[in-house]
Order: sequence, then structure tokens, then C-alpha cells
Amino acid sequence: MFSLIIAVLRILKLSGFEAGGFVQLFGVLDEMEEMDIDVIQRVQATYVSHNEKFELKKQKYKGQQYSQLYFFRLTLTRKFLNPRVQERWPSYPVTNILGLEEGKVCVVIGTLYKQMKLKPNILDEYSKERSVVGLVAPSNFTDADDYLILEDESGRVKLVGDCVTPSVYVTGVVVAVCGQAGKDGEFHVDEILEPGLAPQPAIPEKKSDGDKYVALVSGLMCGGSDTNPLQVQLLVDHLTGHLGEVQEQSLSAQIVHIVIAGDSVQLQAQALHGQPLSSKEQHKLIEPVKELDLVLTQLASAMPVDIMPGAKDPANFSLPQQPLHKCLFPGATTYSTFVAATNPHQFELDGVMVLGTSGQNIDDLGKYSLADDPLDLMERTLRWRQIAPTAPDTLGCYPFHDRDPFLIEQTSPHIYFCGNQDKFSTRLLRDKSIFTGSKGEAVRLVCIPRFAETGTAVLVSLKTLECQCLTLSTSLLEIQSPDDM
Amino acid sequence: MGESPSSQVFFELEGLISDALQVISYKWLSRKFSISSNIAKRLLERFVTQNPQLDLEIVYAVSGYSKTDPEYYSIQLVPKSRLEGARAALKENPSVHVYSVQRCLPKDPAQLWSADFVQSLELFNEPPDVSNCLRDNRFSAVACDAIQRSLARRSSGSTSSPQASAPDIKPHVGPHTHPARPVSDVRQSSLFPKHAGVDMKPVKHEIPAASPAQVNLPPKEACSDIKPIKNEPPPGSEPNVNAPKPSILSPATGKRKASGSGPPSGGNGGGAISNLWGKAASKPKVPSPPRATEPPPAVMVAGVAEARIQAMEAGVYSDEDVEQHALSRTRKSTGRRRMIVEDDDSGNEEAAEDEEMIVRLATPDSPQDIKPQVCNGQTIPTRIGSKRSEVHPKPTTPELEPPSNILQDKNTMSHNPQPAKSVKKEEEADEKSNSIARESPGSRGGPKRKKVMHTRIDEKGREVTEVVWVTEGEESVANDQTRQLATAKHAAPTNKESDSKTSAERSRPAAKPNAAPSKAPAAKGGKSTGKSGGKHQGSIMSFFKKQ
Repeated sequence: MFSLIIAVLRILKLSGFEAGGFVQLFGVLDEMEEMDIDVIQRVQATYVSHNEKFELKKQKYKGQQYSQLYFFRLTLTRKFLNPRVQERWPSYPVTNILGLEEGKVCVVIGTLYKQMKLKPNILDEYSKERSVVGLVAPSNFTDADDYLILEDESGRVKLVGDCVTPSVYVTGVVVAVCGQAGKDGEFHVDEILEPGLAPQPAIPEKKSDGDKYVALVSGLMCGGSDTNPLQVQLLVDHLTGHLGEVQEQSLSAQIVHIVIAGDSVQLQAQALHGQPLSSKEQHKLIEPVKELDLVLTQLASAMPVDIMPGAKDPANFSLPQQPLHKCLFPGATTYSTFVAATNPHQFELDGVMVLGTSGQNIDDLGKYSLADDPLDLMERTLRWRQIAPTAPDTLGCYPFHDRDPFLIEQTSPHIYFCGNQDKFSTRLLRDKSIFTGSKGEAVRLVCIPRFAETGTAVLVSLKTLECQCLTLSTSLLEIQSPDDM
Repeated sequence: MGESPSSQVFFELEGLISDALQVISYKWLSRKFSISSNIAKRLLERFVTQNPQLDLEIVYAVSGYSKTDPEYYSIQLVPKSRLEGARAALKENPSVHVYSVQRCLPKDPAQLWSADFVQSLELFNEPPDVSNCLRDNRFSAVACDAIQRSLARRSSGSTSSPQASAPDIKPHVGPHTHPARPVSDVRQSSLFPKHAGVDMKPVKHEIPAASPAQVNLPPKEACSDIKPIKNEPPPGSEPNVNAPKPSILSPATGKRKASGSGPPSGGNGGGAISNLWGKAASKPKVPSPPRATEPPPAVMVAGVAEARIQAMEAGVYSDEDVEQHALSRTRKSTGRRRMIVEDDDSGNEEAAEDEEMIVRLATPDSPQDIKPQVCNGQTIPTRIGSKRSEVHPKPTTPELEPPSNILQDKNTMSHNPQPAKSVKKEEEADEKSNSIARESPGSRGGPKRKKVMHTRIDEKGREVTEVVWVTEGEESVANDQTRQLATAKHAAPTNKESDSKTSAERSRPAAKPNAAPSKAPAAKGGKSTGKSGGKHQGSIMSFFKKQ
């Protein structure tokens, strides 16, 4: 067949058919092909999912309340705290709240409850009298008058003392406090001890000299009215190795995995009005999801993709959010590289442990405590060994009766991310005093900005845990000053 | 071998950019012509450098590490005027390549996206067992061997544990599962860009028995021949799958405009145009027996024009559809309200499609309409024969025809396909006004009307209930006519050519008594009309308006 074609072409050539340009351009195209032959192979990493504890598969709701969740949280965290307490205050006895004696210094381990004046109460809505609380809902509910209460199985006690900083803590955190009971049933705290970061296994040494990256992105908002689809497409083109010259493509070949951390679609929620939908409205509703499926298909055809549900995605509301249903993505589901993950999502890439959420836990902490930076909040959750301490209280959560999935039990992650933040920020948490184990431990904290607003994705090196931004912008196309025209 | 595709590509690009005002991005190019995206970038760059006279707007993709602290990897799309600035903001050796070429910079960057999106959607909507360049990422410069694609995943296995549904290899798993990247695929397809573009299936089972003959043809000719084939809907696929392709071809008439208005020569691109016209002009000199039977205008521009007419015919509906779709998405960024309006349209797609079918039936055939089909009957045997003979005459014709000759050809070109569209549109418009005018007296409550229900079993065994409003005395006539209308609708695709004239005449009077079948359960055509007719009396109007 080839010889036939070549024969015909030869005839053409011999007969003088545009002979000059022919040869010249032939050469060029030939050269192009030569250059294109070296296709870069994407680097790969072994992927292990650790989402079992976040899955609701075996759970059966039998009308249980949240007490079991708190119970598990307290007993399990007590296990982590006990050795630390022994080390820190070897001479003081550990008692429960019921056994407190006035004037005797002792250590109590319990769950904090934060009494908040401004905390929204569902009952306010139904109270006969108009509440004093202003109509405008504040974005932060902390107040100077907030105070902490410590609770265990036996009772509760109000914590007082200079070292008690209610603004830092939230309801649901388990701590050990050292101090003595006062006359009026208060507990004068000398020091608060947190569980501290879990031990961290060392990142296995890799012989290969090349670096590997995991890409983190959140808030794609496909189909949104304010979303720039070109930006998303640029990201896809970059990651899949279409965009750029060879040096850029070799960069994208080093990305072994991408995690999409929530808020990937913007559904036209106003189309839902509690009545049967016409096909038109259904179409309108499904269009963003289709667009996302197209994005995911392109990504999954080039690299492993994990997609996590977020606050605005068509998934369940309460944490842990279950994987987005595969029937939403008929195109992407066909790939072995496509994984629909739970919302707190934990996995291992080449021995590097990655844990992260779509941002609800950190956002909620931001409402009920004070911090300069979401990174501080993230750091606190690691030190509390509890990624969503507010979970049953102010954050929707499934009433587990056999575990607390948000507990960091065994190991600290190497990379801890949080999606859908206002801006990108990162920090390497490397405080030797915090870590309980050997040295060399470090956690890369990453706040992933919303992609639709910032056009930024984050690349984290699996080798060095270094972090860099990938910013895609089409803004120069938009603003056209008259000089440019 | 390399020349012809590239000059053909350039020629086609020129037409698309300057007349269809389409945005040509490297990715679109790579998928359209089945070349790898790196080649497409270079091709686009060459196109730009070779055609400075076109005064095109070029959007570059500039990427590299920023000079700011902390540094980040920046990827920007910049217009040519800002290229240097963007480049300067990056550290040494930024990567710069042409991203897209267009006539003017769009106000909304999303327009750059929409052409690509339509194309990817088209690939995406192909039947799931087909492997195409979207699904195996074959034109990327980065390959990943670990990826497997299996339809079994859709129905079985949990999504969160990919290992569970591992290698139940399906036959179609395709080239990408092989340990070695099928580089040959890319090469091969870039050798035969046109051909590969025809069936987007894995390059492996490309080249069916019939294709070699086409590939053997002089490439230009082969290109113009393949086009119409492309446009014929493949049996199993939805109409909108190949919808955008016609939209690519339809600007054929526009090409004429550009080459007429601009200076006809200059640069290689100009040469390509004149080549094409030269070739077309040379055809009459070669008498090919089967074509002698055709009407004279068809002979004049046989090779190219007939393809375009055909393309246009196929594209009348789909053009608008696809454009609208892309448009709706583009506008999305401007405001929500607008989008809803657009969506309403797209929601009616199906209905519109059916209506369109009827319209096409109802439109009396203009001579141009018949022509393609006549040609079609002959095409395959004739073309292969005639092409062989054309190979020799071609060199004898000078490369640049005298300008008058070119102009003449352009005129014929302009006369041929253009009226086909405009006439049709006029007629559509006519009919619209007619039907409105006719039905309005009826709907306003003529002297005596009666609602008559007819239930019958149609030839496919479906129960069809027709609700007919008849003025007294006309009853039997109207009855007959509606029935005929209904049957014509069902039989639509088969007797398109022969019956269309008569059915058109039938359907017109049928419109007079405010008649619409209210219920036709499984029938596609019946569904849409039933919807409009059954629910609200008022929306019967919309049915007729669409006609």
C-alpha cells in the first residue's frame, strides 16, 4: 500500500507537479515528524488509597446519636495523650472530672466544649421573642466572652486560667489539662497539652534522580457563569502534555497524579424548584457535569486523576462525603486512572502519605476560632490529631458508632492539603518539638486556591515536598488598551 | 507528499480564518488533521509566517518561571502585541508557541475555547466503544502507558478501587495499552492527514479496503472528495456528532469573497488558491463521460463545488445548531439570564431537528438540491476513473490562470452553493409567513370548527392519534391531508428525493386547517409535535412557526 502511494507521488513529482515547493516542504514536514518522534513518557508512582475509614459502606443508620463518635474520639485520643502526659508530668495523677479534689494538682483528659455567645442556634429562629442577635450573620462567631468547658465521661468543668485561650480552641478537641480545681467548681489550668502530631514514617529513598509531582487543584467550577472555561482547558492541555514546547512538556510529564479537591461543578441550582423538571431544565442542570466529564476524560486519558466531592458538588452534605457517583462521569469512568474519592481523602504515592479535604473542615474552624491564616488552622488540626474537630457540632457528619474517621491515628501525612481557599499558601511544618518521633519529619501544608478565581494549581514534589504554583492566565487577552489595538 | 497536505491545510485554514472567522488553535488543528499537537504548533507558526498579508491576530502561549518571589510557573495566553512584555516577565528561556490564529481578537477569551470545545464534544459523543484522539490522548507529547480504558468499568467495579476491575481487556482497549507508544500511529496519520481525519477511529483499523484508492489520488483531489463523505452521517451515530464538520466546510462561499477582495496572489497561500481554481478550470477540458449528463453548472466546478453543496446541504441545520451551542457556552460568562435563553434553544434541539426534517421535505427541490444526489450515485465509480485521467492534464495547465478565468470560476462558485442556501431560507421564510397567515384565521375561531380524533396504526405498528381541527365541509379533505403529512413524515429519509416535492405540496395545505397530530408515542417526529400540540393549544403556533 505504501509503495503504491509513493509510486503515485513519484509520478506526480516526475511530471513536474509543483516540484520546487514540493521538495522543500516535504523536507520540512519530514523534519517535523523527526522531532516529534521522541514522545516523553510520563513518570509513574505507585498509588495506594487509604480511604477505607471514610467510606460508609458498612454503616447502617439505626437512629444512633453522636455520643458514640465523641466517645471514640475521647478514648482513642486518650491513648495518644497518656504517654505524653506521663512524660510531661510524671508526678501528677491523672483523674477524671468526678474525682477532682479541691486544691490538689492533677491532670484531666477530656473533650473541650466552647461556650459561645454568638454561636447560631437553630432554636433562635423559633423563639417567641425577637432575639438580640443582629440580623446580619457574622462570618466569625467568636467573642471575647467565650469560655471553654472540659468534658469527660463523668462530668464537665469550666476551665479558667491565663493559659486558656478560647479563641484558639473549638468544640470537639481532646486535650489534657494540668491544674487544680477551684472553690466554685472551676478548674484553674496551669498548662494545656495537645496530642501532638502523629509519628511519621520516613519517605522512602528513591534511586531515580527525576522528580515527581502531584498536582492539586480545587474549585474548577465547570459550567459556572463566571468561570472562564479557557483557563480550565489550558490547565488540561498543560497537564496532558499538549501545551508548550519540549521543556514544558517534560515538566508536565513529571506530574504523576492530579487531585481535584472539590467544587468542580457549578450546578444551576435555581433550576431545582421541587417540581418535576422539564427536559429543558434537566439539560441545563446536567450541562456543567457533562463539561466536567469532558475535562476529566481528557485528564484521565493522560494521567491518574482523583476527584473529591466538595461543598458545592452533587454529593452528600455530611462529612465524610462519599465519592461522586460514577454515572455522573460516563466518559471518565472508563479509565483505570480515574478514581472518585471520598472527601477527606488519604492516599499514598510512592510512600508519600497525602491527606486532604475539600476545605469544609478548615472553613468551619475559621468560623468558630481565630487564626491569621488557614495554614494555622491546618496546623492545629494536625496537632489535635483531628482533621475535623467541629464535625458533629457545627459541621455535618455521619453518626459513626464504631470509629472516628477524622482522627489521625497512625501516621501524620507528608502532604496535607485543604481545597477551596481564597489564596495559595503553603508551609513546611518542621518543628522538632512538635513531632513526637525521630527527626527529619515534616508536613507540607498546602492551601489550594479556587481555580476558577485564581487560575492557580499547586504542584508538590514527592521527593523534596517543595511546592510550586502553576498559574494559568488569559487576562492579557481581555484587557485591551487602545495602544494595543 | 508532504507538500500537498500542508498547502491544502494552509489553504483551508486561510478560508476558515478570514471568512468563517473561526479561531484556529493548534489543538483544533491537530485533531482536525490528525497530527500531533507539536506538529500542529509548528504548522500554525509556518502558516503565520507565510501569510503575513492576511494581517492575522495571533495568540501565543507563553510559559515559564516567573521572576517574582516566590517563583511560580506561569502559563499565559497573550496577543502578539503583548508578547514581549509577557516574555520579559519570565525567567530566561520561556516557552513560546502559537496558540491560535484568528481574524480578530475576541472580546471574550472563552471564544478561543468554544471551537475546541465543539470539536472535543464531538469526539466525546462518539460511541463509547470507539477509540479516538480525545480518548487515548494520542497527539500529546507525553505518553502514559499505565492507562487502560474499559467499558466494563462503567457497569461494574467500584470507582474508588481501580484495581478491582483490572485487566478484563476489551478488544477496543486500543493502541495506548501497548508498552511501546505507537509512534507509528502519529507518523502514519500525519502522512495522511485527510484520510485519518475521516474516521477518527484508532489508526490501526483505519485504512479499510476502499480507502487506498482515495489515498492514491492526487492529494488535493482526494481531500475534496473525502469531504462530502465525511459529511454523510455514519449510520449509527447521532447527527450532532459530525455536525461541526459541515460548519468547517460551509465557508466555501466565503473563500471566494476573500480571494476576490484581497490581492489574489502573493505568498504561497495565494498560490494555493490559484492552484485550486486552476484545477477547477482545467476540468472542462477533460471530458469525462459520466459528467456529460449532468447539468452544465455542475460540470464547471464538479470536484469542489459539488462537495460543498453537499456539505452545505448536510450542514444547513447542523451549522446553526453547533454554532448556537458554542455561542451559548461563550455567552455564559457574560451573564446567567442570557444563558437560559440560549439553553431554551438547545433544549429544543431535538424538536428543532425533527422540524428541520419536515422543512427539508417541504422545501421544493431546487436544481442544486438534486444535483448532489445525482452525483452521489455516480461518485465512487466516476471519481476514481476520472481522477486518474486528471493526473495528466494538470501539469499541462499553467499554475497561475489568467485572472479573468479565476474570476469566472469564482462567479460560478458563488452562484452555485450560495443560492442553494439562500433559496432554501427564503422558502423557509415564505412558508413560515404562509403558514402563519393561513392558520391565523382558523385559530381565531373561524365560523365552524370541529375537533376530530383519528386513531390508526401506522406502518411501523405504532398507534397514532391525530387531533384535527376541521372547518365543516373541508373535513374529509383535511383529514386526508393530515394523514398524508403524517406518513410523509415517517417515510421521510427514504423518499427524500422523489417525494419531497409532492410531500411539500401536501404539507402546505395540511397546514391550513389548524392541524397537528397530538399524540404519536414512539415516533420521534410525533413526539415533538405532540408536545406542542397536546399540552397547550397556544403552542401549536410554535410548531408552525418553526416551519
